[in-house]
Amino acid sequence: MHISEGVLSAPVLIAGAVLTAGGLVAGLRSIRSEDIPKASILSAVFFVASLIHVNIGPSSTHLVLNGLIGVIMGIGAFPVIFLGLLLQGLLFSFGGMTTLGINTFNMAAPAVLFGFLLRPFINSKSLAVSTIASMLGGSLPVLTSALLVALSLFLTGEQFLAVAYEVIIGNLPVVIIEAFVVMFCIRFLKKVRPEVLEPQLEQFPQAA
Amino acid sequence: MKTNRMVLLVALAAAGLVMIQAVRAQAHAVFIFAWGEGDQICTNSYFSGKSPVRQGTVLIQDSAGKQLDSAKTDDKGDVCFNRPQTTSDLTFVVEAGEGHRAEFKLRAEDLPPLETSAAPTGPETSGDASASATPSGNAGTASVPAGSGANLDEFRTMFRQELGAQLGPITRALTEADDKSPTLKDIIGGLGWLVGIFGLACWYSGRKLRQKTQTILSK
Repeated sequence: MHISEGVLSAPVLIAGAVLTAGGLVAGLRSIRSEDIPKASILSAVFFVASLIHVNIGPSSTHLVLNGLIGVIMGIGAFPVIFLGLLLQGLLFSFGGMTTLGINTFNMAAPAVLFGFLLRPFINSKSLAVSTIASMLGGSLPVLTSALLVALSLFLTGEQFLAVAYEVIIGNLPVVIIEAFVVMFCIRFLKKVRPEVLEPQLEQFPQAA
Repeated sequence: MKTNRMVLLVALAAAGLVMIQAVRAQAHAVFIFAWGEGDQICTNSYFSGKSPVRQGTVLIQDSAGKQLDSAKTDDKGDVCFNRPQTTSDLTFVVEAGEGHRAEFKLRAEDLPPLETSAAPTGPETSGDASASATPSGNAGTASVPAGSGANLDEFRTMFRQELGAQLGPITRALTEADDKSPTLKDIIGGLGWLVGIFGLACWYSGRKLRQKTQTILSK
C-alpha cells in the first residue's frame, strides 16, 4: 500500500499531492471541536495498524483500516490518514515524503467514498443490513486502495494487469480480515458510543 | 460515567495488545545492503521486521544511472554479482513489487579492486606448477614458495579471496545489526507526536471558541 520514493513519475506524484491538498482542506474544515479527539485516536489507530502483520500463504501484508476511518470521519479521513502516513514515513520509512500525497489519496479517497455510501446502511435499524454494510465498509476501501496503487504504478509505466493482480492478491487476506475487524469495531461503537456513528447534523440540537 | 470508564479500559487493553503485536510485527518498508565479498558484490534485501525479499529484482546502476546488471533474490533475500568492470560508484536498487523500492550506494573505494591483470603474460609462465594449481584454495596452505617473487599477482588474488572469506561474515553481521525496522521507541514516539498534535488542535479550537464567545458577549 505504501508506495516508496523513486518509483512513480512526477506527474503522478504531483496529481496525488494536489488531490490530497484539496482533501486536506475540505477534511480539516469538516472537523469540529468535538471531533478532534475522535480524529486523533483514529490517526493513532491508523499509525499502528500498519505494524500488525497478516501472514497467509506466501503473501504478507498489514492492516490498513482506512474503511473504519472513512465510516467514522467522512471527508475528515484525509487529515487523519495524512497524519498517520506522515509519521510512518518519518519514523519507519514506510512510503516516503515525495509519495505522501499520492499515498494519502490512494488510501483516503476510497475511505471517504465508501464511508459516504455505506453510512446510512450502517446506521440501519436492521442488524443484518448494518452488519453487511459494516463488513463492506471494511473490505471495499482496502480493495479500491489496492486498485488505486496499481493504477498509480500503471500511470508510471508498469503493466496494469500484472501489478493489479499482484497488489490485489497480496491484499486479499487483509480485505477479508478487515471486513470482520471493522464489523466488530462498529458493533462495539454502536453499543457503547452510538453518537460516534450518527450523522453529524443530529448532534446539533443536543449541543445547542 | 460508567460507559466512559468501559471505553477507556477497552481502549487501553487494545492499545496494549497492539503494542505487543507491533514489536513482533513486520511491516512494509524495504531496505537493501551491499558489501564486497571476495571478488563479488553481495546484497541482502529485507522488509522491516527482517523478513527477506524473495524473488525481488536487484539492479546495479553506475553513477550515471546506467543499468549494469540485474538479478533476482533468493529465499534469504541475497543475491551476489560479479564485480562490474567500472570504476564508478555503484547504486543497488531493489524492487520488491507493489511499489516497494529501496536503494543502497556503494562508493567506488569500497568495492573489491578491479582485476587489472586479467592477462598477465610475462611472469606467469615462470611460476612453478604447484602454486598455480591451487589458486582458489581457501585452506591455510596458501604457501607461496619463497623466492618465487614473480608470483606476487597470484599471491595477491589468493590473499584477497582468503580475506573476503574471512570478512564476509563480519560484513553480514553488520548488516544484521543495522536493522532499520520500527522499534518500540519509534512507535511510542509516534504516538507521542499524535498526542502533541491533538493538544495543539484542542488549543487552537478552544481559542477560536473563546474569541467567538467574547464577540457575542461584547455585543
